[in-house]
Amino acid sequence: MASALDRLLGLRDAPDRFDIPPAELLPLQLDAANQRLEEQVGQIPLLANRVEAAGVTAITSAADLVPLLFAHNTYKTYAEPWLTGGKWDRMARWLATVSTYEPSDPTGATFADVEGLDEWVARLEDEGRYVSCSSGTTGKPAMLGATAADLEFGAQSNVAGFTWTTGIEPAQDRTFFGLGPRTTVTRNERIRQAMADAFGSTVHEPYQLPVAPITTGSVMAMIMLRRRIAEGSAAPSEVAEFERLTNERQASMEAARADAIEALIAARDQKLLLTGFFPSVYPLAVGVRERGYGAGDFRPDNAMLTGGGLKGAQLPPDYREVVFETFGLAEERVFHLYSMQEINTPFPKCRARRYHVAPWVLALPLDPPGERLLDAGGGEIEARAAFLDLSLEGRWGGVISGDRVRIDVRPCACGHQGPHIGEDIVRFADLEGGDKITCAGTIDAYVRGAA
Amino acid sequence: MSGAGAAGVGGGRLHAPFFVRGEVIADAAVTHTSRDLGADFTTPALDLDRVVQPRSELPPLLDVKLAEIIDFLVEAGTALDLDRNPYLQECLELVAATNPLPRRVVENLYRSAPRLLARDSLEAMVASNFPDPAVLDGWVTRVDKLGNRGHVRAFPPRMVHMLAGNAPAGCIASIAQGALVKAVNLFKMPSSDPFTTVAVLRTLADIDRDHPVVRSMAAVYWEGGDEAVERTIYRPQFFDRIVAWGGGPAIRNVIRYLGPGIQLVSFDPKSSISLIGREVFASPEVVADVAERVAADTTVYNQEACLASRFVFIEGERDQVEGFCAALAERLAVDREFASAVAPPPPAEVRDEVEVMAAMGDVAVWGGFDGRGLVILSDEPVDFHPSNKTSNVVRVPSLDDAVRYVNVATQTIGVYPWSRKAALRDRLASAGGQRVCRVGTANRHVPGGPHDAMYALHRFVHWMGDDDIELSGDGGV
Repeated sequence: MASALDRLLGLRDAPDRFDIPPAELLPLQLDAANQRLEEQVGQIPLLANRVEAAGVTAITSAADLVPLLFAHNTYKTYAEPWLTGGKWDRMARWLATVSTYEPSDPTGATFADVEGLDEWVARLEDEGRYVSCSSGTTGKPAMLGATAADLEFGAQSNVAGFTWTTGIEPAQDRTFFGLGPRTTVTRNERIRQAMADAFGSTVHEPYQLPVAPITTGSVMAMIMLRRRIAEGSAAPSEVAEFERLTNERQASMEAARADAIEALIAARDQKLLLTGFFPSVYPLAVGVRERGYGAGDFRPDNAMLTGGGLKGAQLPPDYREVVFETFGLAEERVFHLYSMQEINTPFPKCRARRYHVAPWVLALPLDPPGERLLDAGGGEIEARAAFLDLSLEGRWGGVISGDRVRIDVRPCACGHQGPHIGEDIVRFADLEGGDKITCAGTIDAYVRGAA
Repeated sequence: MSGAGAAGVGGGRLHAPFFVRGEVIADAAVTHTSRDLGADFTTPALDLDRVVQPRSELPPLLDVKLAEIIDFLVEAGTALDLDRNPYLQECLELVAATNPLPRRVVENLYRSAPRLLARDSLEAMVASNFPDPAVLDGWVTRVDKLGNRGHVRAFPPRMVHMLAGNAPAGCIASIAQGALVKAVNLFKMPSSDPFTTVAVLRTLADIDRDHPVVRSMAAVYWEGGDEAVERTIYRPQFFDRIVAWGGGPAIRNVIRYLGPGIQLVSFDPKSSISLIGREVFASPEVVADVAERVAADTTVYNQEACLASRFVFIEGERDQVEGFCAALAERLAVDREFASAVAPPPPAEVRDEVEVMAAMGDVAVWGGFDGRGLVILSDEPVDFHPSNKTSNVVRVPSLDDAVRYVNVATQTIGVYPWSRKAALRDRLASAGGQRVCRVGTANRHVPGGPHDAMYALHRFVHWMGDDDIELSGDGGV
């Protein structure tokens, strides 16, 4: 008989995977959690620490998992000077401490001659370890290691999630439009490729917004400069060069948008699959309208993949309507997902506008400090989101997020089963507001421009 | 509740009245939430017309002599004795609900802050800011070599004081500053303490409700960043100076409103450090003494203060330094006047970061994550901001090597032995540091010293000139 873990992961493409009551799933999930823990406790030193500190020997309830969860910033716990100082052997040892990665030489010595982050990432990929590096430019990037199987599972669960939400089968009949800036992170590329392979036209070339991809190396350059500005060691000419690049990037973004608007108009008779966040797509819809095209000019059966919120972008209240109307989209053909880089599974939004947690993921609603499991059995509650994504083999899937969510485990109004999460997701960090004033602080408050 | 107009806990809610030039406004019209502890409190509706005094009215303190103002403040200092002051007593309970500092520490702050209103302290403040304090009382004349006369007066400014949230009783210093420069003052209270300023001002009003000091002061609350308020009143037509105690989002909001005629005087967000020379290892007694001193500097307000040490740069052999770390961890766990034996524990992110570094063998750790104190020994300063009684000890070959870790955000630098301060202080100043002191005295000051590299009162006032220049043939008209 297949293990609990295999049975859960086997549900990836099952059409009825969101129809299993949570109570029915729980024993299977706990079995699978024990299996993952047993596998990984010997592979991830940090997890072994946690198990020891918590005195947990076996997981008998969801609450047992709470002390074993990693904070989301666990994947930023390397020392920044290792990154900026090119100590790639140490970075490899760090990766081995927080994930199942095992360097061929335990000291990491094989990485001693690596030049730069891009090469470090490439070398790790040669060993079958895929590190995605978050592209945030304001602070330390998170470094998340994964295996090839993790990447494959994540990519295919996006394909399956798209079909579950939209009812659109992979028929390779849509022109694929990548409308957001592209990264060179392998994980994102695999998802893009899987979507294009499943739904993309075999006749029309996929389109990609023509801006130079943001490489992890270029993110690094920004982080290093920021550090040097803070230390006071960056020369004015270096700061000027940075400002120039920022302006150039802005200008190239405008040119790329003009190009995308042309390409969209040219493809208006084709069946489209648009991908991108609303802050990227909305200006394109406006541009298309300004060119005199819009409602009625595009096919009425176009579809879209999107995720996230507005990430601080200011859009008018009717931004969705403008995008939908312009490109012939409708709510039922939009795969809007909620996920986070620390886990591997997208949660699709249903007709009742709730994000559904996949059966191989345990939703663990916590109190705001992230210390105590809350009971969501009695109805919708507000909680700090935490998950155990059982699909991950490259690192521990248990993570406490920075998101405040409203979660409910009762059956959803859409007719499917919970747990499901409301649209109004906010980051705890954004809730701090503008009220904070304290005389204690760091040099970070003194660095302008690079933030 | 202790009577009409009182702050208090009514119907399970905290109430924070306003104070406007002698009058207590007590209705509970608006509910706010404190940002640190999430406690709800009510305030009156904010009537901007009442808190902004038009420029057509002369400042109430203009013709009051400095000596009289000092007398009044000294009397206020006496009246702020916690044991006899019902307003402060009541406040103590209220602040406990909104402020992360333990009640006992707030109590000690209430007990010590009135010392700022001692006569010698006030007089030192004035004397160090103004070579001739007579400029505060009237027009002071000087004569150039041609016989032209220039008259100058430190004219009272119109000021908004954005009080810091991490230092209840800090408002007493701000009230003193505002009174000494005879300013027209609006105090914007922080959500973590929307009570103390009004309690202090009510104490002043009880002494003499019509005193010009009292008629120069208003204390209110609005949520920092509230555009409806800040866009409206942060204008040079209403105020000359915005004084901000600290940094954070509140300051970033204010900066948008600066322009000709309205200046920010900012006590910027700061960190502080300790520099320990190898002389510390002369004997076990010296190690114990210096560890105690570093612990005292580290734990000020449970390390919520800008002058609290966060990093220790130390010369010495590895095993010696490890011994120092152990001694320091022990002393961090002690109850003090301005610190708790068990403080709120460090954030979970810090725990994770230290745990990972420890698992890699890159740091050694003394103490723990339980709020009693944590010492982390590393080769380079850690990336995070040590807080909640956390000290990061970093070995350096020489204190000269520690200078590169000093920058414009470095406020207080405690040094051992004291004799090495002189050799370091110019380079520390060049790097951006603002104050050196003997380690163990970070929270003590010689009265009248500069704060954050400036003499603030001198910057607050509106320096008004009146020039009498004799052109030939004026004939003295």
